[in-house]
Amino acid sequence: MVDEVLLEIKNLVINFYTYRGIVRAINGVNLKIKKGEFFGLVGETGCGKSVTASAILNLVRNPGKIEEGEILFRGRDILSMNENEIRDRIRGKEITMIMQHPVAALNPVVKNGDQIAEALLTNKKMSKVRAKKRAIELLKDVNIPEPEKVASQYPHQISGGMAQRVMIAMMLSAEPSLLIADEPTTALDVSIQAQVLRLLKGLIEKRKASVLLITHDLSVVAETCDRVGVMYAGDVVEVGEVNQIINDPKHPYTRGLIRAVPAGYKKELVGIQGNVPDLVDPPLGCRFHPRCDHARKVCKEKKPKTVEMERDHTVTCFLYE
Amino acid sequence: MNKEKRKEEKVDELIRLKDIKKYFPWKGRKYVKAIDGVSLSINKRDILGLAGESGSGKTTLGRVMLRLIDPTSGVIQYKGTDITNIKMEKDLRRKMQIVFQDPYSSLHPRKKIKDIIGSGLKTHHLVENEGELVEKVEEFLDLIGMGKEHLYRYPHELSGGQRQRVAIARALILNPEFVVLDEPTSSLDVSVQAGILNLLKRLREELDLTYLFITHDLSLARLYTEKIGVMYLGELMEHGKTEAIFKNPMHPYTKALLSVVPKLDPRERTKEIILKGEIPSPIDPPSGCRFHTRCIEKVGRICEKDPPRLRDAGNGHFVACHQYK
Amino acid sequence: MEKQDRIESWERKHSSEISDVKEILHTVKKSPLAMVGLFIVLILIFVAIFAPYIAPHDPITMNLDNRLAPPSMSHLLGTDELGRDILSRIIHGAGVALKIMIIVLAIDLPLGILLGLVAGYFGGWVDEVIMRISDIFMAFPRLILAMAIGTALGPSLVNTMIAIAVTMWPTYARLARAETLSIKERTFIEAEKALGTSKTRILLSSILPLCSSTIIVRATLDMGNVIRIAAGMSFLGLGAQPPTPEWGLMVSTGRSFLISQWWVPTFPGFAILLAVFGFNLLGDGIRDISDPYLRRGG
Repeated sequence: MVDEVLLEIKNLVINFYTYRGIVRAINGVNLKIKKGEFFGLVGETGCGKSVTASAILNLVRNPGKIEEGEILFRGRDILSMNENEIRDRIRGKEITMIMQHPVAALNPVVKNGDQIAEALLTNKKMSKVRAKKRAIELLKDVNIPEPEKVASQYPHQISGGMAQRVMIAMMLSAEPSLLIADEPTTALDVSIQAQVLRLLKGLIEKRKASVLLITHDLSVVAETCDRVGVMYAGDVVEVGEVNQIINDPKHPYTRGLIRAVPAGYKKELVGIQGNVPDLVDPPLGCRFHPRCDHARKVCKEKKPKTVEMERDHTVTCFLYE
Repeated sequence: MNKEKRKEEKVDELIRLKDIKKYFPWKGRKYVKAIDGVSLSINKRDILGLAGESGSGKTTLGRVMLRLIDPTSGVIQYKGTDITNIKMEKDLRRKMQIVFQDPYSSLHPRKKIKDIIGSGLKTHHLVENEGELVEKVEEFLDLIGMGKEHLYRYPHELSGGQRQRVAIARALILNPEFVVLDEPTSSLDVSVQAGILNLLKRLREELDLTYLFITHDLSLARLYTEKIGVMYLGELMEHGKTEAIFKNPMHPYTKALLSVVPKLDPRERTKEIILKGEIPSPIDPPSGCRFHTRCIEKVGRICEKDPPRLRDAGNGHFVACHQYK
Repeated sequence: MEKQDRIESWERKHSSEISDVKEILHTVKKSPLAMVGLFIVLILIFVAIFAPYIAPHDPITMNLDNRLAPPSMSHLLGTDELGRDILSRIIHGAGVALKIMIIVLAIDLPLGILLGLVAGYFGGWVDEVIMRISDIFMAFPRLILAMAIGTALGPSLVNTMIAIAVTMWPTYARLARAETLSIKERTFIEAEKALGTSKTRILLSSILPLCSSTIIVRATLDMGNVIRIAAGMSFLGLGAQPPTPEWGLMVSTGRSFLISQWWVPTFPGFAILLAVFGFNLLGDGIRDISDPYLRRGG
């Protein structure tokens, strides 16, 4: 596996200024994504995974505000680039993003093929005819049957799964190095989900792009990702290779999650007691401590540091400090 | 001897559906054929799972069983009595309850928890005054693992898991016999899911309940159901004991579905059968066997012409597929 | 000690409502216009209730020696053509305006809401009948219809109130019906059905409380209209009869003095303006507040 780091998030802090108070939604997040890797960012509601994705493209808007941190893409900090440069070179070009509801993200009054062609034309100089042809080629790349027909249809005429693939085709038109997929299959049926995930996986092989998959589904991560990062209440609590994380989870939250996910060999599921904290008034110290079986005095007072356990496996927990 | 046994079985049987169809009118002369001929039976103390993807009709079937939606044709029997067309009287409603998928919309936003849970108690005259109501609700709150402080709160002050517990309490405090669980944990976080499902399991034992567990999550179904039915486009493709279906799926759709369910454990993973195409529209479903347009084990022309009937494959395992004679 | 306990237990029971009210107040403070509207309306209500104590003079007593006197220390807003103190008449006029509003609402809200709920929930021919009847009433411009009814019933304040009420009920009926149509599809209503709750109870205890917000907003905004139409009716001689100190009537009778003794019609006219303005601001403000609140709570 190529070890070169493509994207590095350093010490990211994001606050949301709401009528109830300041929500420290991202509490100092560190993350590395390598070239050509399929990275899964997994967590439950409110953990901040989607906000992190928006931050990568510097799309965090009012009432959210990026307070601290750097997001290094190929060594350069995106957060300190000016808006024009991000728009011209990063967003929709080097880094693209697809989201949960593709039909809503597509323009309802423009034909599918034309939307892809438009995306192509903003990136490269080519004739309209050539762009339309290339759009159909891209639809073939994403395994859409009858690509000419789909290209001539409108987004509401195709299913969710197809629309997601049209989105992927649009994102690919720019030949990105990093494709962010924010819960791309959550709203899709299982049988369609499999098609879309297979497609994303194929992209890594064919185009040497990296994929950041954001999801709440640990089983999906287990099947598709190379490495995974686990988030809880605005912190990254554990990062590592998928097999390590699933077979030998270190962080109590990760362990709790794995115990809670259904699998064939299990006789029962065990949940995690308590609730996700209200981030207007988060627990002091380690945010997971109120729900943790191993919580000690220090966990309630100080925030744990990130420790590297073995190669590429990091945990943020006092049990390991 | 035989007659007695059959009588025993009849008493044990809670729900029986015979060739239920539900067509929703759609834009003029067309129909959405949500359910197109489903027959099944549920015995007392069963946990029957109903699995399927969108358009399968599983959600509609759950509602039809409770007469929340009336079937277009077919028969619903409750403990041997035909309840298809009768006026649903209060006591029957009390015995057949439902827990909905979305705890955020299934609770009235302006009512307090005690009134939400106690609503049925008032309707069915199970309490005589406010004091008794509060007592009973407090008792039940304890049963579902929540404290008295929630009595006077509003739904928006509770977490998703707590709201779902309230929804469960609302249904179960009436001491029903049969409960439809319509994707009870799909809207909840994974870490909260287990707690709810374990609660439901425990309550089933304590209150002697029968469940219909509707879900799209097959991994969950495997853990929590004893029997399972797989639906596709309004029809029942296969049903039987859960373990048998998972270990030895016979219908090509079931096989494909099980193969693409994402699995945590790599040892469970098998070669993925990726179905071609999309789920057809229930307004204009394929002729013959609904699944034939995507089936890789198609037998021949017969699949396009004749809808297969559910056939007994032994040991309570039923399949609707032409390759099994 | 016992009283303290009772207070505490009441607080505990209603802690949710208390925090909700706190939240509303917090939001209201943010909208200065709503505050202004609220202020004006509160003054109107206060003045209306305490008129006998605040008004410097009796509003009906005539004093023909002091007719059409300009504003002075003893008559801050001057006197009208019969020597009556304008300020006192305006103050008492607030009471008249308030009475009109209350009576109109007391007729319209229950009637309109009930009809709307029934039409929306039961549908079918009941819905058709109610809607067609309301269509008939809505086909006419309000003021014209009010005038027609007022004329038919005979000029009097009470008849004006009835006339206005008759023109306004369709609005509330439609609102209630629209709300009912969307609410009845929601899952918690289906849940009540599954619990065996009777249709009447579902309507009254589950659907009705959710309709109230939109209707209150609409009613507040409409109050301005009510005052305006009542004033218009009185202006035309159909509404309040002399010597009732009704603002519209005062403008009407004071019309001919507009050029030389401008204070006679102007001040009552200004009172109408202020009242309508206040209610409109308040209505807008309430709407803005209840929207995000509704979204969160429903």
